Amino acid sequence: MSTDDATDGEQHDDETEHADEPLLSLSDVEVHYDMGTGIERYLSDKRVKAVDGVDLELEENDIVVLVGESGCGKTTLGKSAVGLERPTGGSVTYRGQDIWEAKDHPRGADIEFREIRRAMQIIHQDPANALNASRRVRAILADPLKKYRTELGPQEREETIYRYLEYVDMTPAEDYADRYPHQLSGGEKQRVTLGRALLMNPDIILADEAISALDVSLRVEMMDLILDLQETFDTSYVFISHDLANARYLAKRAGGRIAIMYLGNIVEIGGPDEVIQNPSHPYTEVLRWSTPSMDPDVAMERIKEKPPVRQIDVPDPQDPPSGCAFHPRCTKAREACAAEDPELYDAEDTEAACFRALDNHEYWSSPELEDAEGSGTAELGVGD
Amino acid sequence: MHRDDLETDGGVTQESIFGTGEDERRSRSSPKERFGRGFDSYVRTPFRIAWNDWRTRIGGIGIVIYLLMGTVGVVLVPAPTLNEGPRYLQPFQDWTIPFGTDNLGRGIFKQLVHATPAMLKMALAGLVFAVGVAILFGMIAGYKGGLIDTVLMTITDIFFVLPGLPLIIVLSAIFTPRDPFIVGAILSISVWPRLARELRSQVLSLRTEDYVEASRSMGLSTPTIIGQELMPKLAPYILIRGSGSAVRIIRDSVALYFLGILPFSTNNWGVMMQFAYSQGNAISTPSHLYWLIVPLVALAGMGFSLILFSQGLDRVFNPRLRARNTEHGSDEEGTGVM
Amino acid sequence: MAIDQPGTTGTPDADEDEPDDIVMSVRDARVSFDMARGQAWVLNDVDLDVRRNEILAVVGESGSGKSMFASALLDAVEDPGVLGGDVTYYPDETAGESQTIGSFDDGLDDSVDVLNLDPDELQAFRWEKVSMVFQGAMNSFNPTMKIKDHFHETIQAHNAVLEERMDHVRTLFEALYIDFDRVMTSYPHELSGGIKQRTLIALALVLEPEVLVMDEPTAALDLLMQRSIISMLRNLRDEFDLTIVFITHDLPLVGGLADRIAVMYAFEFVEVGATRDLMKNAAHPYTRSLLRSVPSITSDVDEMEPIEGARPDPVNIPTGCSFHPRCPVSDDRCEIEDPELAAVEDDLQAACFYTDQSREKIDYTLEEEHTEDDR
Repeated sequence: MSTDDATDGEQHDDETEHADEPLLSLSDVEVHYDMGTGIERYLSDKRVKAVDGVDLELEENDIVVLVGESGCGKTTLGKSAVGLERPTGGSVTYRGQDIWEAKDHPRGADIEFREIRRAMQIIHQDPANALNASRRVRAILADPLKKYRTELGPQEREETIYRYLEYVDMTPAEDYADRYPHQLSGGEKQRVTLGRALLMNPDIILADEAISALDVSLRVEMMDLILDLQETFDTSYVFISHDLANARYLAKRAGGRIAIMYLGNIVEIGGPDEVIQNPSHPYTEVLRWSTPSMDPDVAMERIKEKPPVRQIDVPDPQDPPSGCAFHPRCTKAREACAAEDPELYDAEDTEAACFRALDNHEYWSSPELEDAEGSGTAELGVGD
Repeated sequence: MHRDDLETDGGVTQESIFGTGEDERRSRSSPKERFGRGFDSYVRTPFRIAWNDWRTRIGGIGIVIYLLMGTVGVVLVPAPTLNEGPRYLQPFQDWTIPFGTDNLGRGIFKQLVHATPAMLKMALAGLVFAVGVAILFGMIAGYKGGLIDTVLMTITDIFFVLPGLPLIIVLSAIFTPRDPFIVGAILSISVWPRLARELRSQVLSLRTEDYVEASRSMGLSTPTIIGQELMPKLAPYILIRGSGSAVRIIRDSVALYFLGILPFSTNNWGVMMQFAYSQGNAISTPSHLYWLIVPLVALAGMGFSLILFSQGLDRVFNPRLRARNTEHGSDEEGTGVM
Repeated sequence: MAIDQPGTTGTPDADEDEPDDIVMSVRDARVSFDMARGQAWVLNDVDLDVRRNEILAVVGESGSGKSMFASALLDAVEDPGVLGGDVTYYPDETAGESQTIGSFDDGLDDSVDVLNLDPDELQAFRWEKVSMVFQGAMNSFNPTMKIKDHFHETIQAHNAVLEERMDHVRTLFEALYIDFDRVMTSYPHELSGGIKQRTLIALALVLEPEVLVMDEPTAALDLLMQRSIISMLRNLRDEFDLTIVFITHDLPLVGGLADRIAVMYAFEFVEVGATRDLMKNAAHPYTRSLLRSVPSITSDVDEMEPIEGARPDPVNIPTGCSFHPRCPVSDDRCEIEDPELAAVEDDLQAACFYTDQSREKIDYTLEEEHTEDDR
């Protein structure tokens, strides 16, 4: 009956050694891109710091939702976390094993790269593109089995495929298995993608905006499915979302955290209620302000308010500001913010990368910036 | 190895797997059913789609005719002999010598048939070499990138830039190839570099697709990814360009034979045209023109069939058509909006 | 030219004494096209009035027909779709002389039959009277032309006075927080998505149309930009006497913006009404289910529920009420009869026989218990 067991034959014997290690640990991870091509790359200094020194830990059965606007580095960070992007600095550690070390120096590794590779999977945002349109569902789902469950014969593979289709609520499985992607709805395609990832029995799944391409009324269904399967399969998730409301739903239901990102850094991290209701970082307030309330009375009042930023347009990632990356747009910024780059400090309910979280920082005695309008209001300037 | 002492490392316990769905007897498909599905998928459906398209139908029939000529025909039709008929007999006069005779009384139709194997061999060699090398160089360079890309493309570019015709002339002079396979291989030199470059750019754009990233994330090996994700997408392109290459190689060979540059041992259409020109003065003697035109038509026909066939074959790879024409699996279309 | 239409007393909310000033009205609009599988209806005999100077949000999920409706307003339904029915535009009578900037001639008629305009008139009508910002339009700038050339091209195509219009554009840019000098001399690829979208809105308003139709204008933009544009739209409406029809799938987005909301499902309107009334206590089961399935920043996460089932296939729309297969309060009647929009309250209509049951059975809350005001 070995067919029914989804676990991989190769087991981590060194489990016990690393039992108290976090599942995944990102330490000062940097992903810098040199801009330009050819000669330019050598001559110019310009780099884009997509991820600029991020620390993050993920436990078993954990959920972290990375929230931010475009260009904040959440996708790059997410892909670095699951080994699909190689950082230019810092380290990514899976159960105590540096994953790129395992790839480069396989002999010295405690955990083989192949095993690491299997343990970290991805679900893409656009279901239409995540499946090869020329192959049937059956063939697509057979891939992971042929690679990692080589002991299964064709009949057993087929059974496993059917079983996983049922896990993701696609019944009758036999019918769905024969279909091509274009014969599935968006939600169904997304579920096949989820099934494919789960067939690997991964420890970590990166869900890259996995619900934004779905119909609004289906998103909750997909999120619920993911959360249910998390219980069944004991997987941790790194979710990427630009939508704070969805992030809250996921993080709250799973008991996870929300991490707000801005220009390559995590600027605030904590539980969903804490981050949303009592944020300590000014940028989190901006995001919160930008997410409308469902109550029309409240919304109509709010709409008259000016955004709590000094510029609505995002700065050029090739030319990031000095010191705190958010300071040019921050209504509470002072000169100290331009000079120094804050770390994540313990704030009231969360961790926030803002000097205001510290009681004794020169921020408090620093003069205001020249064009600051004072907190709460802003002139909508033009960035870029 | 006991499964019970699995750590909670993301492993699924036996309970959770056995528990779900244990009660229902899932319908297993027998090996016979699986074979039926495979046969349907790889043979019947493609055939059905191909037959439905007029291009594949006509092109396919053309190719089959040539193949028959080159295989069965050679057996059925006797070899041409001298003086089997009057010299310069016009075509369609005598039905045992349908296309007339040449200056030595040899039947042209028989020459045509017996020249076909050589042409087919040349076309095949050209196709295999040109496409094979192009796939190897182009797809690997495109997918791997980095140093491998640079090295492979530098080699490709060198061949690209070398003047094709003089190179072939020189090689022919040195190696005096008589075997049509070798001729085809040599002629493919002028063709594969461009194809390699084109395939490389196709792969470059496909490489960033989500489903390729998903396969990489699964740890699938490079040959597997190239073979199963990229090939189905590129197959139509490869087929069309490939048959275009084959046609070009045949044409080039004919030109070279016609010019007398390639040495000939067996009869082939190019050689026939050479003789028609040099010994029969076909161009200046209207009554001898048929000797030149018959092989020319045969040539054009082969090229035309190949190209038509490959164009139509593009449809076989279209998953929507495969779904519609399949016996297994549903006919359902997605609602299309999303 | 424009054909007179008999009075619009057929509209559900036309009062005798104080008719809502209607700027556009749609009657029996339908769009169909032939597919290999059958005939697909992507707009199913819809009626709607757009009131002058209002912001009307048309909300529906993808595949509900909302984009078709937007296209119908301008007679811009593309082949192979076929548009039938009536779309009527009523010029502003209080404006006195013809207000048009450009070549469209209002004449003295009090209504314009949009679907029967000839091609030249239609061309002038669009942009001068009713203008549209399409979905993804910010990618349709001509990459080889600077922004100012785009404006010049449009202005000249409609025979308007260049300088005067460009002055107006300055005012528009101010309202949209765009740096006039910088953006005008830029090429599209040099600008960010947010700036492009705002520029596009200005371009749509260059000839001072009465009505602006926007199809998912903020869909591809970041949160902050989305939210800012919403505020800007409200200001534009006030400053320039506009009417805005805002098409979106994102219901929470328009809660603060729209005066009225019209909810579409399966190519029909199922509920239309004042934003406040509709969102606080929707009548139609679909609207209520939708409100229950969309997480917001304050919703109760344990109460959220998706809508069961799948959206209907345009070739195979369910008989009777098109929502009945997925509706928690439907019964046999719903399978046979198709309800029309009927008044439930003063400014709320729903196409349902069981609005009371729907309100009882389908529960949703807009905000969790109010915690301390964190602003």
